[in-house]
Amino acid sequence: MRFQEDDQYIEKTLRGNLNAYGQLILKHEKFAFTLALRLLKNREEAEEATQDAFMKAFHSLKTFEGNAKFTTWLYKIVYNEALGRLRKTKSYSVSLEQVVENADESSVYLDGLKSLQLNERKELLQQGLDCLKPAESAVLTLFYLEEQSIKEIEEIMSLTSSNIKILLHRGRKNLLESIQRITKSEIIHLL
Amino acid sequence: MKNQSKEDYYIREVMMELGPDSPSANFQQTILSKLRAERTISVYNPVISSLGWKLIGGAIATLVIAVLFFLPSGDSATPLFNQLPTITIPKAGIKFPIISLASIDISVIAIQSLVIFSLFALVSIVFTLRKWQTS
Repeated sequence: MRFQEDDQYIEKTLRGNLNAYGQLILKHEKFAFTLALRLLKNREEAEEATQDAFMKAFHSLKTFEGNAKFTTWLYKIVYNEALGRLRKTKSYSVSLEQVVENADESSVYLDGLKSLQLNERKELLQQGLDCLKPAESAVLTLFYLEEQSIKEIEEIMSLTSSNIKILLHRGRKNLLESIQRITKSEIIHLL
Repeated sequence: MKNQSKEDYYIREVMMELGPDSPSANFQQTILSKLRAERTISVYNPVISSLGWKLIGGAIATLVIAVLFFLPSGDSATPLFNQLPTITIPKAGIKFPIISLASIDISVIAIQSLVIFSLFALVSIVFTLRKWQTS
């Protein structure tokens, strides 16, 4: 399905066309939901949070000035909504301690990952992401999957760029470590 | 540094491979139905209808007129009500009733209240008429 530019849908929505907002939802639902899911790690909760975020976005669409990308604005609403739910249910904190750089064998290990089947690789990565802390998982999703810049992630998460870089670095490390851990345990199970 | 860029490259690649997750099939429709439900206009039904207000207004006006015209205004004056039977059609000369307004002893505060009430009533009438013209 080919979508129009966001501002066209926004303009139509502001003129009272609800179907245009429906198209806007359809265009961004997957990425918005993925962000909520990576934070909340529960499909039902993530879906509710994303729906509430879209409702909030609709009600404050008039305040969207267009200075930033619509996705940045929307993801900020989704992130805050998911974060609010996370804080209600679990203890959530963004730890920003510097990661000690250890020249491990992760790059060698990554070559091994390449040799796996696509489905296996996907499953591994999903499990690895589930092991990460919500903030790390959210940063990796925003940076790699949703291709947001550091500046945009700063805006979404209300953190400084150095904090984002730390979270990114640690997220990468922890993701690889958790994938390594999962594969090792699987091999042990096989043995 | 080279190690980190390799990590970066691989993670980007696998993240793209993994792709975004999809919400349930009726995700969009759920949001739209919630928004549509919010949009439905609630129709205002007043407790007293416009006909009711007209009847009440008519009754009050009748009462005021009745009090002013039919109540005795003093010792010398005959109430209008008592004069009604004297009007006999067969007679050639028509006697017009002697109209005398009843003098009501009202306190200053009551008069002030009535004036303010009348002003507010006038304002509400003006606004209602404007509303009818625009709608």
